[in-house]
Amino acid sequence: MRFNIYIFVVILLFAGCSNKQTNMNDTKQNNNIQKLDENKTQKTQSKQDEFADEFSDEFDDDNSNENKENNCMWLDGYNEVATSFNDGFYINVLTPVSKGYETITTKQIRVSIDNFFYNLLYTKRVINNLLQLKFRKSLEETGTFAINTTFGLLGFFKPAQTMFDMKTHNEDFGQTLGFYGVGTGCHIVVPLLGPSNFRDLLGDFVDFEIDPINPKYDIVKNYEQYVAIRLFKIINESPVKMKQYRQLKKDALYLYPFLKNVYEQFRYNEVQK
Amino acid sequence: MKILININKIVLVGLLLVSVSFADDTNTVKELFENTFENTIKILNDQTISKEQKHSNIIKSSEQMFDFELMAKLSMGKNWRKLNETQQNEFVKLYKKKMQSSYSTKIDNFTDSNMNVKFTKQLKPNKVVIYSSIVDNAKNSFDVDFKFYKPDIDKKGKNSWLVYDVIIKGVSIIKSDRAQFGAILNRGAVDNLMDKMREQ
Repeated sequence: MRFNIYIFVVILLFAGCSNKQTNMNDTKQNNNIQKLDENKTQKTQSKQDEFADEFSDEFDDDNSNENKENNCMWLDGYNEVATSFNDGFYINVLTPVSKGYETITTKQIRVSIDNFFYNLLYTKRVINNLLQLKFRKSLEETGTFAINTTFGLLGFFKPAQTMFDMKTHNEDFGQTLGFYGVGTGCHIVVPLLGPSNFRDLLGDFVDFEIDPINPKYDIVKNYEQYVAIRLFKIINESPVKMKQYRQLKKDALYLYPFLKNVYEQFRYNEVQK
Repeated sequence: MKILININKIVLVGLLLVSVSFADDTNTVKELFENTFENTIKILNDQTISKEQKHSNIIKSSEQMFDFELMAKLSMGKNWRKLNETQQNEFVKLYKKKMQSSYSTKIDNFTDSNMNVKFTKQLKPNKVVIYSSIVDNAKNSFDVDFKFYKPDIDKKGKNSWLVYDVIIKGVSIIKSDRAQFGAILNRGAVDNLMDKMREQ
């Protein structure tokens, strides 16, 4: 039942967005007309500019696949605030926590716990591989899960990857939707969790339904326990994730548009794989 | 009829020649790339020099592979034409600095890693892409692609093929810079952007 409500809410969100999109297409057309005019007046281009144009098809902002539909300007104000809130949280809370956690654990322990959680989400990966008709990858994913769960001692180690050179194929429902041509919808920054978009948010809700630590599967008894486990997982990942975040942030001059673009490019590429 | 056959032959030979020259290009670029990266790893794993020395050595050895001027221009997109010549020169300088510091922080992660060229692709006669992946000790890997082009005239102190974009895990650095530079310029003047680059 809850699942149906999620879908309903997200479909509503999508519907709102598609209206926005048609408006945007209109303005885009106007822009294109303007551009044509500009082009006419710029017939006396220097040779240098002609050369730069040779590359422009690769980097055309208006037609790039990642930017087609996530420019929902009405969300920009909120997204900016959420981005700086998250940045403050990552730098002032999660980074000190990660440093503390690093002093009481070894790298081996952190990696093993990470492996365990990753192995646990096998159902999510294999179902989404199957939904995308990636049968060979589903098979390899199953093999990896079988080996790591048994020889890898419940997934704390990953002999499938290190000894048998097998690969894991991380697919989620957001990617499955993308595979079937569902657009990303608006870009939205989720408090604490970071950049996402309407499609990937819906994906997260669906993936949660098949997450083995979802309280409805009785491994975890209630939502408090679920939240505690999720929190522990986030803290365990934080030394690596926060280092990545700090490095990424070094390349940013203006955080929100930068992270937005990086996220959308990254997800677009994941869907294409 | 005979003429037709002859034309076919000529076309075939032509096609063969084109494909041969294409293959040569990808090999040249691949070799160039592998040499530079091998050298980089060698410097990284050299225990006798300091971290700062390593960075400056790596920048020196890989600089000839990148066309920072073109990258600066591409990352500005349409806005490039709005800059006057002094601003353009200043911007290229700042961009180059930004890229170098970004490159040296990223390269630190590659100690004890291997870079494998997965495959290469010739997009156009003057454009080649190297698709590579970086694999660490624990067999974690991620993809890095390098886009090369061949300038019409050789540039001083540079290789014959030059990088104009790097794509890390599917994220083009030109595209992400273009997004943020554009957003800054939408709100303020060029000086605003340059100030931010200087502060960095």
